[in-house]
Amino acid sequence: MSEHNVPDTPAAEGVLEIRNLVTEIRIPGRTVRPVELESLSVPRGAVVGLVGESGSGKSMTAYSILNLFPTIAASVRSGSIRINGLDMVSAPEHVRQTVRGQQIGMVFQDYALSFNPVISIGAQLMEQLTTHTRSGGDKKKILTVLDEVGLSADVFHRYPHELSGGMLQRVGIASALICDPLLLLADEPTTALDVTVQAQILELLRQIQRDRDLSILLITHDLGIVAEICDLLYVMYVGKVVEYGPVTDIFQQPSHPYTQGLLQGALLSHSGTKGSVRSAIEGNIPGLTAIPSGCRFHNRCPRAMPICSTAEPQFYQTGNLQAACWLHDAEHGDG
Amino acid sequence: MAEHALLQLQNVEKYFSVGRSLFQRKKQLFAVQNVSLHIYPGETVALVGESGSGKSTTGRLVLNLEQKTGGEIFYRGKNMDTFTRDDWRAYRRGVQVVFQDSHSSLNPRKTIRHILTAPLFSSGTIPSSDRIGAEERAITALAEVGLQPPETFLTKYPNELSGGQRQRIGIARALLTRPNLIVADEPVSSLDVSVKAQVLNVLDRIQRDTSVAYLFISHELSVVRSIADRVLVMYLGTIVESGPAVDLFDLTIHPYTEALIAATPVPDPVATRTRKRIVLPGGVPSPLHPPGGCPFHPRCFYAKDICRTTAPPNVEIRPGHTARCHFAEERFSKART
Repeated sequence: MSEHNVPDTPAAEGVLEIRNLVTEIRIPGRTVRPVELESLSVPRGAVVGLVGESGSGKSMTAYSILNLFPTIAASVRSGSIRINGLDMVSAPEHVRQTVRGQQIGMVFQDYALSFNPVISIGAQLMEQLTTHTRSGGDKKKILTVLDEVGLSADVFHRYPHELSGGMLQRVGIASALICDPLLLLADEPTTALDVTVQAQILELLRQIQRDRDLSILLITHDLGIVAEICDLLYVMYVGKVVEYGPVTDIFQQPSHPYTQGLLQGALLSHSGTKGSVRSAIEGNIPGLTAIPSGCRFHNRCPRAMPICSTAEPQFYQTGNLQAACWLHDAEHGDG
Repeated sequence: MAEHALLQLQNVEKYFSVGRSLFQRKKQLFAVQNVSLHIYPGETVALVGESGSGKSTTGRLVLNLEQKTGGEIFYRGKNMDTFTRDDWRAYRRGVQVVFQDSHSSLNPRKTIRHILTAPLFSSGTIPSSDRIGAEERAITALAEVGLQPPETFLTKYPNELSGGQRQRIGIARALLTRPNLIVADEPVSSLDVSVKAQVLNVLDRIQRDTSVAYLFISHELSVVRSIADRVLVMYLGTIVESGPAVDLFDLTIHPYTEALIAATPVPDPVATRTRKRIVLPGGVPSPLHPPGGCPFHPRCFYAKDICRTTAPPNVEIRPGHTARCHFAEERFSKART
């Protein structure tokens, strides 16, 4: 099926395989690279988390996968993005469009903006179905999917403004599922929702994933959500993955100082009471026009060494995890 | 105990009249109902709730950005209704605010110098002739919120700063007049995890140094847990449970609080997948059509017949810990065994 030999994933090729992806944005006088992703894969039936702070390039990664960007200044420069074995980067646009429509479902953060306010929910879902499939607009299919996401049939005739945030996000998920995709891209699907509604939506995603054996790439900044539903995790920092591996391993013993800082912060705010020390990573995430040399995290890293500012680290394996950090180098770090 | 409170709200209510038209009768939307709370010097009181719970409206009532439609607010024992001109001046100096959106709460056309000196002149803290004194005060405030070196920020504009830095400017502005109380409305909600921790640390340190009190409004239980002395949980305009943070998180009485805690994802994959899960059905009802009886009953997993018909009393279960639930005592004794 694949001519691509991937040594670190001996199993069958995943639903999504990204290799050496570089995405560029042209700004006056130069270009910046919000995404420089060496490798990311979403195995069949797995929920993969992609976490990072704002400015880490996690949303740009999703746009790159779809090859749909919010600005015409952005484009994929090089690399490969294989969806079910087909390379999206080299494929012609009409093929991409078919793949986007039939194999990828996208759930957005801003559900209120992802619907047309003057067209009924049913008509919007119908349009999607007739564009991407040959079924000729099967209303039964829409009602089945609405039922699957926990909405009653009368939602079909309603307009977006008549629905609450949680219901609209359910419609968003329905619209992502309507063409029976292999892969669901969910970009901060619950960030704009209240906690009790967030719990409902997470429960729904978990259930759908199990029932359909879906693969999900979940983009989020919330490590709590990752702990709740993800199997694998990639941590991004300024356009690059710094650590990846199974969720339980990362949470048990993160091996990159950035992941350690993020997790400590998340855990302390969870169990801490007033007066307990809150550890914080110093400083701010650097902008794309001022990316630090060597390891991009070195100027905020509590364990930085001289080598960190001069050379970029490769990935080192510790247990089940891969971390791009000199600390795990036999010569420079503690092995 | 009430006479020592810095700020006290007694049965405060706020309704908005909506839907007025030629053929329709005016409807009343109760945003805040029967809210009583007190804040002592140097303590942090947190208001938690989902959207539409009335937590922000309560904050705005305290700031007098909204006029209450009932109840009483006391500042240092004095009723707000009887405030004189001088009382108002003292109140506005003593009670400051930090907003959630640091982007829209700072004027993009003014430098940080202007943003941080104008409040000093208008509040009369520093006479407008003393420009140097005002600037010194601004620099102190910048240093207090951890912006280093402080002088370099004076000439900048808000758009030159990151979200975390802008939020610190917002806090610095609130500190200028040496307030007794800061109303912080979701001050860290729009910030990234690492920056959030930095800003919370700044708030903690300032409180230790100046013993300012905070009314901290937030929807994030994990943030509230790590900053508050006392927590008030709001639902549809009423306080459903209140108590010392330690007690409230340790032994939750009201089913809504329990559901809120259960719904907050825990950053621990093993614990979170084995714990008891409570998923509440539906969303927060519209305050225009609040359910009868206990406002929470349609979503409550513990609801019985009485909850549909009768509004529950506010029960004090142990000192300082109250819950507005018919089964507060029952749930308390059950939880303890």
